[in-house]
Amino acid sequence: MRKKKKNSFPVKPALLLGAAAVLLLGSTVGSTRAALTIYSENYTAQVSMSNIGVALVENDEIVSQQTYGVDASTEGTLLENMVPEDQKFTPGYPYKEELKVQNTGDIDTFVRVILSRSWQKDTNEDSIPDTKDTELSPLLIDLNLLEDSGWVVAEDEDVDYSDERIVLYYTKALAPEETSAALSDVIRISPEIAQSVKVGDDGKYEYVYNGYSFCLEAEVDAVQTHNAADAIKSAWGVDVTVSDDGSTITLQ
Amino acid sequence: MKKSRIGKTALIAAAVTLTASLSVGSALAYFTTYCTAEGSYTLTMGFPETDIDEDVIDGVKHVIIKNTGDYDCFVRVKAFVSSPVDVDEKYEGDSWEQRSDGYWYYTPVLTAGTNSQEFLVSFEYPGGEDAPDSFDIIVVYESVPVLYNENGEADMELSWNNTASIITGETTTEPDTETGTEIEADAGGDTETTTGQEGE
Repeated sequence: MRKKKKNSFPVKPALLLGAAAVLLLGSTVGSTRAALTIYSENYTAQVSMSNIGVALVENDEIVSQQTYGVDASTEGTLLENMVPEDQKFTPGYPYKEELKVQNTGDIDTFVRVILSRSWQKDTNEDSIPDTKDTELSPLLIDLNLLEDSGWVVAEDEDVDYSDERIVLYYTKALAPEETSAALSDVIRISPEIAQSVKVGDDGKYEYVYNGYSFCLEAEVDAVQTHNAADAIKSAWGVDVTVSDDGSTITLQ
Repeated sequence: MKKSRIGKTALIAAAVTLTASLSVGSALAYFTTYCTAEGSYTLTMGFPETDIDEDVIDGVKHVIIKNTGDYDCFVRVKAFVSSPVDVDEKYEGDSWEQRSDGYWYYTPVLTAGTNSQEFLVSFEYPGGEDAPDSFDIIVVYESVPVLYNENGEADMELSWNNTASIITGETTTEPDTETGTEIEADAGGDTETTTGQEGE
């Protein structure tokens, strides 16, 4: 009997494992309970505190935002009031284009902005440019970037479309309601476009860029500052080093 | 024996599962968000159109350049006196300024629909020779579209130095442009020559 019993079930290891399991479970339950005890009264409040939000600010006006509880478009419009109504657009003239990012959420965030610029042509006369012309140089659309303001342009030398696409990272964490420094101040179309002249079908000279639209697109991405290195790697796929106090990031 | 093996396996599996469950907690989703915006501006670019007004009053030629088009421009003129005898020409005009290339530049922007200040061409006969009955004063004038520099100022130098390269159409039949290469054309503006009216 004794021998049979011993063979059927290893009591000691089972007890030990059982104890270990209880202890392990107990350790997690304990901390959960503690957390619940501390926060239970403010539990609802805590949920509403954890909203991430971000807005793109053009010339001190929010043009696009994703904010909890705010019914606003996340696809805004840029360059709407670039040229004052009583003026005509002129190549070379620096028009004000101050782009900033605002933290409209309740938690600290790190942000980046992806800009792309291109020449497009309206092909079906609905006055919305729809066809991108890759023959024309995006470099002639000169958005003056302010790099000493905390914004860092990601080195993207391997990518051959980098003339068109610029990625800027804001190295400082943005507190709720805080607005970043401006990443650009002016936009101007290089006077070089006046050098491109062709002979039209009717034999007259015309500017190559006449009728083209220059387009500027911006995407703002925000990510939590908690576990920033992992979160940024997960969300944006880039490696960053976070400072000891968690307030700044450096691109690796 | 068989029973105990199953029991052991079950226990090991349980232990592994419990231990593994400890690490589940850290696989949290991260807070992320985004928003986008885009905009565009359509360029309307064209060449300025200009015209000239010339009058000869008391032996002095008065030249006024008129911007008759839709685009602001800079203008410059050059005048020649085709007299059979020697004359001393004199050029003057408010806001007109001579540069080393021989052209007289009108320094303000000639905005669309406005006229320039008068440019005066006068002459004297230094040798006391017989004045011819008539001769031509030829005025050449050119215009370029206004370009702005980085400071937002209308820049005359920049405007005149931005020579256009003409991209010829592929369908053209002219022998020297069949290859579709770029050729340099002058100044990007239009050049017009007017023969002067009769002098004295």
